Amino acid sequence: MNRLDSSASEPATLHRGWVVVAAFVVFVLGMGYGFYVLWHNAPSLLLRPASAVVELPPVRGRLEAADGTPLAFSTNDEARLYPLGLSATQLIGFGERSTGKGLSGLEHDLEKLLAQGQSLRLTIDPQVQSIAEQALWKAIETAKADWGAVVVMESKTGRLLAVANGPVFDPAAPRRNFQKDLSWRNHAFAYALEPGSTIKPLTAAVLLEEKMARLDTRVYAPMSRRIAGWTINDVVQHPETLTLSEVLKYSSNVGITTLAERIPRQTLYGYFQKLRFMDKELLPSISYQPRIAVQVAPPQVRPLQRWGPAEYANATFGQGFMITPLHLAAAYNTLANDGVYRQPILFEGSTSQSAAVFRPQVARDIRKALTEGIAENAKLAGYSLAGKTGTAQVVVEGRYSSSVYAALFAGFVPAQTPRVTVVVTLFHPKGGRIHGSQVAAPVYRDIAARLFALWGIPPQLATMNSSGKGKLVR
Amino acid sequence: MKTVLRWAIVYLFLLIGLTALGLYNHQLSTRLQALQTSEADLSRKETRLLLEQYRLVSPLALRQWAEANGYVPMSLAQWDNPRSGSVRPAPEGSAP
Repeated sequence: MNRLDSSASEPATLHRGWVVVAAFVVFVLGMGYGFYVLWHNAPSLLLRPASAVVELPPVRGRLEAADGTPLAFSTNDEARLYPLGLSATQLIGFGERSTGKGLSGLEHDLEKLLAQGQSLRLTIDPQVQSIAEQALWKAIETAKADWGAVVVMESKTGRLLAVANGPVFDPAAPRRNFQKDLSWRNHAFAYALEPGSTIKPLTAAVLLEEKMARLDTRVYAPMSRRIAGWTINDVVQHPETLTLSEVLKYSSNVGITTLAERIPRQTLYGYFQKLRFMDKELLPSISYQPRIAVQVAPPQVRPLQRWGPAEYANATFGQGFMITPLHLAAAYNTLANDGVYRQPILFEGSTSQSAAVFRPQVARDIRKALTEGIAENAKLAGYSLAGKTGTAQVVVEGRYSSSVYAALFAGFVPAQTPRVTVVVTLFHPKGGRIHGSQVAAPVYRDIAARLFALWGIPPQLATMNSSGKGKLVR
Repeated sequence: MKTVLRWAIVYLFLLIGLTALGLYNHQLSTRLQALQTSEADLSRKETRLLLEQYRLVSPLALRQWAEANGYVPMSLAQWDNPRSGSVRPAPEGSAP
């Protein structure tokens, strides 16, 4: 009986057990599936595995103009975009098509920062940049020059408002042979050349500073003279006796070398050092550990012990040593800034170091002389401008070429209280017009004209006709 | 048997709850994905529009367009001097 009772209750126990097991299995499976769904697809689950969240590399940092205009930026889809098109492309540089990794210009120099997603704001003013580029590109075409560069520097602060280069370079276009086609290069920073006669006002400033001459000091200056077996010639016909002002006006090599003999070589060399003509690191570093700075071509200036009489004479009128247009702009800005050298800066927030080089009166006197002696092609009716032309011979295969020249103009806008310093360089202009006064001075004038319009400064008709304000004729 | 049924009901409710939550999350995730795609599309469109904007109104483009259409900077324009009655002629090449 007992056996029968136990056998009768056994199937019921077994059945209940299977139900429990089945329910548990279903429950575990369902629970597992639920967790799986939650874990892998939940958009906001804290327990979501790290592997499910895709970590994107940082988007390459932006380069912006002073007003916030993007000059170069990247997105998740595009390696690099240049909203301003052809503007400032040589300064910005370019990078690899796929990754955006910098190959030239700021893209190369600032690679470490940009790759980490750090954005940088430049001092470049897109309006001034476009003015400089428009004038430069037109001149390069007219003069058939190999290339050209313009630097516009704010006189009081040292901020670089424009760094223009030509011919135009399109970073988005198919790349050409980098060795033959140099349109990609930022010549203003990367090419050191002999500045030629643009140096004469600085030599004159040294003479004034050292009290070895005044603007009205007269000097005997025939059309040529011999120094240490070398003949120095003047190009522009002029009277045989010139004042220092006239030496600048006629750009007399003979006059400036004769007057410069009043100062010892080491004195001029010392001023070249103060004007940072030997400085390899002209722009301040953005970071010191590790050192990140914009590269500037190192100047080539002979050491003082290798300055013989001929080398010294050459140096007084800008031959025999090589500096970049940026070096020249910074040095000229000393005259614009009442004798105080301002380190050029390219990034907002950088500190521009300054040092007094000339007395304020010396700088004003030189500006006055440059206003009176300015080249005809640089004059702008109704405005006061000041500057100096330069035509430098270029060394080709170890010798000064008789056909390759660099045409330069360095000046201020406006002359009395300069707001900006402008340096124009045209390399190897061709045809009959190759001098700084013929091809570089008009670029300066065009830039000055458009800057005055940008700043809203009308012409002073008093300087043209009689006194009084004028009105625009429509 | 009652106990089993009770547990089964509890398990069933838990299972339904969990599956519902999973399904909800799945839907949320799908929606998020759609929004992310839409955001990426809008971002691409924004970039295109930004580039187009600068292509048309960047200082260089604007200046070239203006000068091609007769704009003369005031510094190069003709100015009338009321005192002298003279007119400063516009420099060569500056007229439209």
